[in-house]
Amino acid sequence: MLRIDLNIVWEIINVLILFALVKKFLFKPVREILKKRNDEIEASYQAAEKTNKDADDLKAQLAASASKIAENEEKAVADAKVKGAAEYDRIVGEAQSKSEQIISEARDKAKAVADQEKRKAEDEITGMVKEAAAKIAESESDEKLYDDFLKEVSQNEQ
Amino acid sequence: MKALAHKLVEELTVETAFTIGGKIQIAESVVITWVVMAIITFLCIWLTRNMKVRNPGKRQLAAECIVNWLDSFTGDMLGEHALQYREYMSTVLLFIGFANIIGVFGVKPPTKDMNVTIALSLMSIILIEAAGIRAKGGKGWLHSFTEPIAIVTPINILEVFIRPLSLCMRLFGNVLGAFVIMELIKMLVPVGVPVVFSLYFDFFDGLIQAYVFVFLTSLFIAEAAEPAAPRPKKVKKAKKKAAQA
Repeated sequence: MLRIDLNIVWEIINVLILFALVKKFLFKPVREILKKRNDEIEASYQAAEKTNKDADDLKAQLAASASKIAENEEKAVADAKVKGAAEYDRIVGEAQSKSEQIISEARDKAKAVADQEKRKAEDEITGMVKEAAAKIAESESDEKLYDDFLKEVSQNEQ
Repeated sequence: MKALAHKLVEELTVETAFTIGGKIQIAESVVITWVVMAIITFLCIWLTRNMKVRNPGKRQLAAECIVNWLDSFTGDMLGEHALQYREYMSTVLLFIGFANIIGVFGVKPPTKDMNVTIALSLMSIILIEAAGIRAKGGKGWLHSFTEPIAIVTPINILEVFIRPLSLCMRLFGNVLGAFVIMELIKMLVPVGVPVVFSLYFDFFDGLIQAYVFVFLTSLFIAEAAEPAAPRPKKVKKAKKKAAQA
């Protein structure tokens, strides 16, 4: 019933062979595949992280450029305002100076006309005085002279 | 009754399957072990064929499941310092499990032969002591016999022989007992009843014995592979050195 012999050795060899077989056909391939899968998952995680980072960078870049654009816009508007104000000032100033010129010219003309008129009147008065004087010299009496003068004046007034 | 006893004894003897060169007798159990090995190897190859990293099939999932389960099952018992022995313990678990269950098919389980259990327990004790030497070094391993106190040294040395003996006898006795009972039942009631009892004696008890064998061996390895505790003498020396400095 009990039997202890050399079969112990065969059995030990058997178990060692079985160990090698199980290791080769079960543990090695399964561990390899699990490792590969883990590596792949790790790699995809890293790729996803990288993509996220890139996206964030791009976002930051876009935000920076957008703020730059807004800044430029504001600057352009301000420049345009300044330029517009300058142009306005220039045009208004020009118009003012021109109108002043026109006014002064008109004044001068009016003055010249008035002077002419004055001179004409003076000339007339002078002529009348001269005539009167000549008439006085011509006439004999003062009374006649007065009468003549008054007659003439009234005629002129008419 | 005499015929029954005769038949039973016949069933219990380990016959020689064949002899090589008229001298080397190859026992039945060794041949059945080959069958068990073939079944396990075939299953392994079949399960791990065409493995893919993505979209694994059902077979591959089963293979991964089995490997993960074996790893965690043996890893838990071995502890963190002896994880490298997981694969051997898994192999032993598979082998004893299959060897015990094979009795269901009317074959004499190899573990009924003491040669097989002696071989397994010899390998266990060699592995246990090797793990101890690898973890603690030759000196540390020798010193571990005097722990926790020097007076237990003879008991610790005895344990080197007691452990494999108990492992060997427990497995052998359980499987032999189950086999004897099953043979008796089969002789008394050949129909129906043996199925129910076979569930207990072959499946339940067989797997329990595989578990117990692996569990105990793993515990011993875990104990042996624990890194040596710092020795009090060295600590004192270090303290002295520190004080001198």
